[in-house]
Amino acid sequence: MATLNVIGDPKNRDQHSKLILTGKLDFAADRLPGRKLFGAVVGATIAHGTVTAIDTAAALAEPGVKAVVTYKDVPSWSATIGSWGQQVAGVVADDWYTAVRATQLIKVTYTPATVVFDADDAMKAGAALVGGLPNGNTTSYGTVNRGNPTTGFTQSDVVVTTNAPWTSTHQHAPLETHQATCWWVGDDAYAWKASQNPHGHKASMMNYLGIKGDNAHFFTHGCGGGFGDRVAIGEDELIVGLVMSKKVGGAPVCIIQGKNNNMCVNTRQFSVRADIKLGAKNDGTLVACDIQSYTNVGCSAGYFSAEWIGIQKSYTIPNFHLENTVVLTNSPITGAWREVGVQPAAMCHQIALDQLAYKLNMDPWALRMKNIKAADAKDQDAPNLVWGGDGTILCLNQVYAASNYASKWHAPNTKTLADGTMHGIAITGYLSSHGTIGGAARGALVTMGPDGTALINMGGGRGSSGPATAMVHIVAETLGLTYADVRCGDWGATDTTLDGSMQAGSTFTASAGSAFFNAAVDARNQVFASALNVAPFASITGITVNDLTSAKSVVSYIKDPTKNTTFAKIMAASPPIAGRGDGWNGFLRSKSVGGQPIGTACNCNGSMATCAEVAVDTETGAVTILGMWNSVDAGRAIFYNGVMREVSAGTELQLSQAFFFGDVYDTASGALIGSQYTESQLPTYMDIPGDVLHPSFVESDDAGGPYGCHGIGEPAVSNYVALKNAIFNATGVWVDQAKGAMSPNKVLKALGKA
Amino acid sequence: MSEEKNKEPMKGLSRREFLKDAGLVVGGATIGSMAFISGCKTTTTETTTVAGSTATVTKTTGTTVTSPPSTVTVTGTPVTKYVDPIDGTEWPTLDALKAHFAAVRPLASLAGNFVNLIVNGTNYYLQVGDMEMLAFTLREKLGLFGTKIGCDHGQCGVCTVLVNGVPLLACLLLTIELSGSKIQTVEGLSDGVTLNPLQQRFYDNDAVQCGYCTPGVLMAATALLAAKPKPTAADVRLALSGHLCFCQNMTFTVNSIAGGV
Repeated sequence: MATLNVIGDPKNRDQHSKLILTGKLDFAADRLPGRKLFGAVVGATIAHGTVTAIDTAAALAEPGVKAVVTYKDVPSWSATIGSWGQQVAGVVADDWYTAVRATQLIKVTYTPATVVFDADDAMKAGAALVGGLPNGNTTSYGTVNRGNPTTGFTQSDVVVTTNAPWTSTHQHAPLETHQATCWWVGDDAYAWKASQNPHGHKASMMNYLGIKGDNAHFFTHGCGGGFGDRVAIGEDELIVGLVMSKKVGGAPVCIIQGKNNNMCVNTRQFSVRADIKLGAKNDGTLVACDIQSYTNVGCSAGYFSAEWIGIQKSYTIPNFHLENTVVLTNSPITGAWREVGVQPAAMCHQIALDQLAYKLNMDPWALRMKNIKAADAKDQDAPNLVWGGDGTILCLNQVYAASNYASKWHAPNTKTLADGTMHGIAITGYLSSHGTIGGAARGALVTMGPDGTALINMGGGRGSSGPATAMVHIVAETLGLTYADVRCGDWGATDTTLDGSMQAGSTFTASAGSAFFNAAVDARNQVFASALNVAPFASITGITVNDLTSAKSVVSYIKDPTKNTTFAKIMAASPPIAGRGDGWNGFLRSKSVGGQPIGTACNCNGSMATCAEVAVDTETGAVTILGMWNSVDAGRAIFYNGVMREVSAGTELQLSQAFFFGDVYDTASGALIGSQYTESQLPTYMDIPGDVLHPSFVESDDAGGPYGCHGIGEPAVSNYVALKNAIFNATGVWVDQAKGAMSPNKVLKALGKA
Repeated sequence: MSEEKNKEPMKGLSRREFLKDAGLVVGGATIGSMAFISGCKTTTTETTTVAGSTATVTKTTGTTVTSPPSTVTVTGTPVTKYVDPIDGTEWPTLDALKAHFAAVRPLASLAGNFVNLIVNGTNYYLQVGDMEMLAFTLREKLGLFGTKIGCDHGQCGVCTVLVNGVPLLACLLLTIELSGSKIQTVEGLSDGVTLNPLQQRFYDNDAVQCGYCTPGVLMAATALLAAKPKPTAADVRLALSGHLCFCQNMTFTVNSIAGGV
């Protein structure tokens, strides 16, 4: 790899920091001051059934109320209720407080149906139908068959069966709740909303409202957290906002979902349970694996499912069988979440591996290293790509060394610390889903300015501030500009950008990055063509664009670098230039790995590993983190500080998931209890022990993204299950992994003391 | 924006009634910040004097929490102009602005509740609703969208602003009760071009993610640093304990404040 001038430079700062720090980064509700009405919605108070009547008279009579809407007005709503809080009516008023209060005056009458909230109940014969599936509440989400598991188990010396209970379910609790500002000008609809897929939301406007593309104008700038929920399925406030605006003559209407309504309309992480059977030889060699997986997707019409690549593709297992089943229930819709399918599956298979190791009287770390795939090993399933390179091994080795695991590990429930607490330590690691692609990115634009600088934009969501900054790095490096000479343009406005498809944080750097790489190459070729017409290149006989190179905002003649000029001088004499690029449909290996030549089709997934060291007070159930070492495979770190920041934040988020997160519902009625910021619940600055967290990353440089990068969003999810395994190492008991998995009460319950 | 002053009240407890009856909750919601900075004292006096370059402010009403001592001396830019937020005209005195307002909008002058707010050094004379919250006023009447709305129930901290130097939650403060108060929002931390030292520290540490919680965190940190210029990491965590962050970029944030700027 040639010397990189921009990529990986820790001096480069976030492109959006100054906007954020001065309060100028605009979010969905941050416009039209004093010139907009406000909308609020009514959520269903049943979890299953049908709306039979809605009386809006009292709300309409309330001073300040301008209009009401119901499911009959809003094409994305329905009279059929699938979960508690599903939106059925709304109010437009002069101010938000009046709108919210007036929603309480709307009387909704329902015909309730049997609520099927529990996924185990939903799978029973004769269970009431949730709806959405023709026969029952379950459907297959795919199977994997490799070798002959039946034979494999008979060949195994040791077989363990793990019945992993339902994993914790939790939801996005973004501080920017679902918000939108919507208005009409004649037949043209305008909407601002946080989005990871602005052109997808534009399509929703067209489809639901029956308007043409040139009448639909969608914009997104800031996106206040909860990125996995900011995709095109979240039409709720968008479509209803536009319907409300239409009802009041096109006046701007701003919807700010309150925290409780928001909890009902945010997608949430589904829960998974699994029955896992593992067979191994006495030396720890894995022989067979059988997994029966169940995913509770709530009442979602579209859904994800558990993803088992963490065991299927991380470890060499000759005989493998997976049955993946999704279960519909009358719980809220589920959707994208950090490592959406991989993380809950890992909660199950990483426990199973530890249980097998202890059955074999092995160190679980040694079991993993004995079976982890070599860097050059092809996938055991078609199409037999090489996955992940050496990322998983690098990550596992890094946390192993950094934590001094070798001197700390012990058999379960055998080490008491001086204060009477029990010491535990565990390592987990596997190939994950961050970094992959979810469809090729499209429509990256690089526009050259007359002064030789470049603006970049795309019709995709910006997510947090990091991904767009990573795109600036890729464009600057590829064009040969300095970092300071490339800026983010008006990103996310469908009127001025090409469709960039859905851009999630986990995939952004690799997928959108490949589109920006191509756009930068396109722009560079045009700049070089213009350069041939200016000094000193114009006087060089026979020179072509292939004879030029660029770095640090200077274009040079390769054969004689003293002959050079600046981008600024070239562009001053050039016609306007814009480079356009589409992403790579599949990833091609950028570095030869294990005999796989450059250009070989490969996967771009990243890996991760965690070592968790804890002290467990068996009297109180309190778990103290003594150390948490996380390592994430970045492929190549494009935006260095952004990677470091994301890994650190990922570490903290997964601690939150381990100790705090978890929805609270009345399972009989399906009713939401509490709110997302408290009972749900978000930790505070007091809860995160920053000084014992050791986030880090490795660069495997073998991925198919531009410059060998992975996407870097969603890192460090392996620490959730590492904590659970460490608690077992400390106490010899497994805690239930439902809500608040590692909370003191759960630990005491596992110890038989609560 | 309709003021609804004379409408029939709805059944049940209004937002304003709730807040009036739960005065301590208003300030107490900034648990960490308030506990650290003020010790949560109350006062019932209301005096505002603006003279020269120093504004001596005694906190507003009995429904809010203020810091000891109850009289705070705030040094800042002298008030030199009074701006009509509707037509943008500037006036040398408050009385001149009132006269202008009454002359051009006689009906409005008769109808509403008026408050005087000094926001980021600019004096505003505003008509506000009975139950209008400061967050709404800042955003919708002054266009200061740097103050965010998250939970609107005092749980998340994103709407934190400084009221007479004290970090409070703008979603729980009735604007009508703040007349004479000196408000600082994130827009007032710098000129918007050159970052102040705290903002610069955040910038240097890349201590942002989505940016939605950042304005509130900056305001709480500003108050913390005013009270304790060299806070420890533990001090910072306590001061920010009323601020939630779903991106969970907490360590970078704490490191940007601890030790001072």
